This record gives sequence, structure tokens and C-alpha cells, in this order.
Amino acid sequence: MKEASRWKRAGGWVDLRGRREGGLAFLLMRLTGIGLVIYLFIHLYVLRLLAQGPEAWDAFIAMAKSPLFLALDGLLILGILYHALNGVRVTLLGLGIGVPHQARLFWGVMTLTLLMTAVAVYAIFAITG
Amino acid sequence: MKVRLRIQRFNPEKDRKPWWGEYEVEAEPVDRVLDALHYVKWYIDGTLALRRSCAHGICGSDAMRINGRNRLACKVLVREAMGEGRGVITVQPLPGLPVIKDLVVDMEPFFANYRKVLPYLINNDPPPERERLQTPEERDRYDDTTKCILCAACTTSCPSFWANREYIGPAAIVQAHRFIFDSRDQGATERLRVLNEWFGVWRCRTIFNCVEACPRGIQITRAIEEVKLAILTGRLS
Repeated sequence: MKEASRWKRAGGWVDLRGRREGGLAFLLMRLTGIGLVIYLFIHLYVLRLLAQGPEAWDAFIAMAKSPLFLALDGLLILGILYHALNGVRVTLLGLGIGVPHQARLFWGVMTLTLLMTAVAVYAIFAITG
Repeated sequence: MKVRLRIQRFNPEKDRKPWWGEYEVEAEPVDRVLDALHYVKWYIDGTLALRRSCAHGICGSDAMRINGRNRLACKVLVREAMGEGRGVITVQPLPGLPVIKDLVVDMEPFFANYRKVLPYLINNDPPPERERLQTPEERDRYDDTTKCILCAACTTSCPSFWANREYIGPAAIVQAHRFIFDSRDQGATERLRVLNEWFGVWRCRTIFNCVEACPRGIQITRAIEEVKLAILTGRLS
């Protein structure tokens, strides 16, 4: 008998053929989840600058105001919003609420995520610009 | 029309890993993918191994992965599959189970999970003289989950099952649901105990792959959520 490796078996979740909203929601949930964990560690690593005094921190803040950094902030907000809002969707589905409407709930999550990200990105650039 | 088939082949006696066999067959647009596979086996390469029994979407033997989707080969038309695959039909064994040969997978892990949920009527009352009566409403309560044909398309489309075969899987939960909500059955407590275990219903991540894959159109995730609620509330209504 031939057994596909564990990696190959689990890797099937990025194969979107024949999968619809539910599968896409799950894939994005995983990707944003992994992204947010990586971000958390970067965040903690940057916070160590606080221990090195005000100069080190101010230098970082100056860099954090560059357009590239602000754009990355937008990406972060996109990830956080999707993960949080889809988390609410998954919680509802897990409680048996709205299961027949899961696809519409997913598109609702996507719409809210994009709208709120757009508002946040506008606010970020308006404040710093 | 000419149909190009790409079939994942594996012979445990010869091959170290699976390889792709390419075949060109003559088929009508309204033939099924199963007919094309028959053509390959009967006229091109008799060593191709696949399962099928009734060939009419009832027995559930010929579930396989066609163009990346778990389906019954006897329920997919050639023209439909050709359109999806841009002229090539890709056929693979069901994912998540060990391959015995070509398109034949070892179904034992699947059936082991099926047996765990005690998929038969449990009723310790003395047998009545005639049938155990049930109102149409009581029958309707579990109607959807009676449609399961145990083809394994759902369970083998589930990422939770791919990651860990200990997960009891959607098909076993559907079968459990069929008896848990049957007014004539008395085994719900035991079944809910099994499904409340570590690898029971709580491994469902509501991905809905099973619902997309089910050739019988069963609302599997809804059944799973009903079982979860029954475990949480202890009520079957």
C-alpha cells in the first residue's frame, strides 16, 4: 500500500479545485492565522527597543512612518479583520447558527473586512500624512 | 469525441511511487467518466484497477478524485469533466487513504470510524407484533442523513481527516445522526459519548468540503452541528 506523506495529505487544503466559500474561508483563516502569529513575534522583537532608551525607539517610530510601513499596517489590519470577523462566522456555525447561509456569511465577512480596511487605511494616511 | 484522460497509477509490486498514465479514448459527450475508465481498462490497459459495482450512483463504490474533486465516476459526464479540465480529465484515488493499487484505496480506516458510531438500530424493548410505528414528522427528522451511501467522498475531502485519520469524519457522523434522531432508537447516549471524544465531532472546522463533495446532496455540516448541539444540551429535539 502507498501512503501519501503527512505533509502531502495536509497540503490538500491549499488545493481549491472544487471548493467553494467554506474551503476558501478556511484557507484564508489558516493563512491569516499563521501571518498573525509571525507578526506577534516580530512585534515583541521590536518592542525590545523600549528597553534601549528613547533614541532607539524614536528612530524606529520615524521609520514606521514611511509609506511602505504604513502600507504594511494596512495589510496587518486586513489580516486581523478577516481573522476576527470570520472567527465570529465560524463560532456561529459551530453553534449551529446560520449553517445554510454560510456562503452568504462568508461574503458578508469579506465585504465588512474590505470596507473596514479601506476606512482604516484612509485614516492611517490621513493622520500621518 | 476524443477524450484525454490522465490517471494516477500505482502498482505496489512494481512502482516506488505513483505516476501519471495518459490515455486517449473515444467517448460520447454524454458518456460518464466511468465509461471512459472502462474503455481504458477493457481496450487499452487491462491492468488499471478501479472499484465500481452498480455504476448508477447508488452503491457508492466508484468514488474517486476527478479534476481535484471527490465524486462518483458514474455521476460525472465526460463533457462536464472535459470543460473543467480544459480538455483533459484528471483521475486520482480518494485522498487521505492509503492506495492499494491505482484508483483503489484501503477503505478500512473509513469503515473502522463508521463502526465506532454503532450504525444500527438499538432498541431493547420487546419486539412489537408489527412495525415500530413512527409519525411522518418523526421520520422526517433524520430523512436527510438516510441518503448516505458510504462512498467516502465526504470524509476523504475533509482537511481534518487528511491531517489525522483518527478523526471520525463526516460520513460516520452522518450515520450516527441517522440513528440518534430516530424516535425508535435508544442508543443516542452511547453514540453521543463516542462523538464527544477527542476525535469526535469537535474536530469539524466547518470547512464545508464534505457538503460540496457529497454525491447525494446531504447537508452534512448541518447534521454535524445538530449532533454538537445534542451533546451540549443533552436534548434531541
